[in-house]
Amino acid sequence: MPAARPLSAAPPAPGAPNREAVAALYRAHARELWRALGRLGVQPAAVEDALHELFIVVQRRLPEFEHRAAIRTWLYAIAVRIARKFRDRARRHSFEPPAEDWPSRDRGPDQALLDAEALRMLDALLAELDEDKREVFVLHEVEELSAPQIAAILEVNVNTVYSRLREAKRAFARAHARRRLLGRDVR
Amino acid sequence: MSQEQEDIQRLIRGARRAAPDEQALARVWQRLQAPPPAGPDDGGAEVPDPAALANATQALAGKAAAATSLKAIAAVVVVGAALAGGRWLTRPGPSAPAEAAVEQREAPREPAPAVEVAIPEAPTTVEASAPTGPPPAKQAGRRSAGGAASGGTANSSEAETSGETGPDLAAERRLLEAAQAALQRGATAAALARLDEHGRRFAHGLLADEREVLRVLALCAEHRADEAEAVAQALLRGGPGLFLPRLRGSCVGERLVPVQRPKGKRE
Repeated sequence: MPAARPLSAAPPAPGAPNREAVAALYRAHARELWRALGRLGVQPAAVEDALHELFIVVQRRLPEFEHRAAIRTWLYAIAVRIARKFRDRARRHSFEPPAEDWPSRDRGPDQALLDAEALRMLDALLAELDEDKREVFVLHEVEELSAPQIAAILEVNVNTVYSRLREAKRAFARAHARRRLLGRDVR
Repeated sequence: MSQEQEDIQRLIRGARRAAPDEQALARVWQRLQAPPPAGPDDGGAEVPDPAALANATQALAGKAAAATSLKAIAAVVVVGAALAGGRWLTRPGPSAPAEAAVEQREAPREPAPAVEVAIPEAPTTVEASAPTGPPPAKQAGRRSAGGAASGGTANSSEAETSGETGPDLAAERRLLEAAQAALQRGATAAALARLDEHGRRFAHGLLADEREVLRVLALCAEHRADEAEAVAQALLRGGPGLFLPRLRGSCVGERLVPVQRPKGKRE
């Protein structure tokens, strides 16, 4: 049994170098993770909490993480798991009303509304996918991660990613067509 | 159809651009400045082991350009790792094909010794909770409690009789729980990787039997019945155990019948 690292040596003064690293990660990745959490099915009103939880995990586990090359993959892996947790939670408390819209304040109000509407539509379509397909679809199409990266994130093999992606695209197109027929497209 | 594809693309492009609420981002950052809550956390095991993940992706990331060859390589890596695991388990000696597989992936810039990967678990927990959190013992306790709840029933008696508990057992449990969870998700490769890790670190651990049972189930899930059978037979050679019903319910259950049949009961 290899001995665990000596306890006394392990914790650096809590939060000292770690905080810098976390801050850098936050600056670099918080936006895309925010977006990913939303697309992965976290209710808009809960994204803030989800992101918070995500970075708490990052704070805690960053010291173990030495391979910065794959840090983005690692962050997404955490995001996917947080999103799963939030989806479960939302299912259990499904009496909560779906959240209000959340137009961004950065753009003109019209554009923001349009964007928010399109996003809501996208999320509605994504919600029709099975969860495993949704994850693959979002990571690939929206977050533009490669299949091997996704495979590592989801801990499935690459072929599974490809087949889920194929099915997801098909299902998404079907869902989209159905919406249009029902006249609920935003256009 | 193409119109529709266009619409879909438009939606997706929009999603890629979607701007987060900057104020909310700032709020979250503010909240993060407070010491992390001691309460319900990430649940530890839920989050994949970062080093393992890095191992898996690092080699691949470098080659992102050649997508097709990449695909092939990744498949080879996955299959190779799984095969290595499969081969390993039929041999009792702790040879290290799994480590070899890790290295084959592409001589990593800093070859991460797989063995060390999950070891820092305990110190990290301490680290994470050090600022204001609960004493580490509490977390460890919580974790092993979870292990007891979801861990294999087959080996609990064994564990109890030996009276041996502690960080090792907790670590064993965590690994096997992770394997089990992966298996239930259908991530058989991940499950096998965890089992291999357990095999390396705790070749004769308290939960070794449980590991082999899980391995049978994982191999079954991968339709590798022959290997599954070999594992099951090896397990049975050590004598019948509480795991027997699970083996019997597995894909190789039929094949095991001639070997050992508990009297009177058969599924």
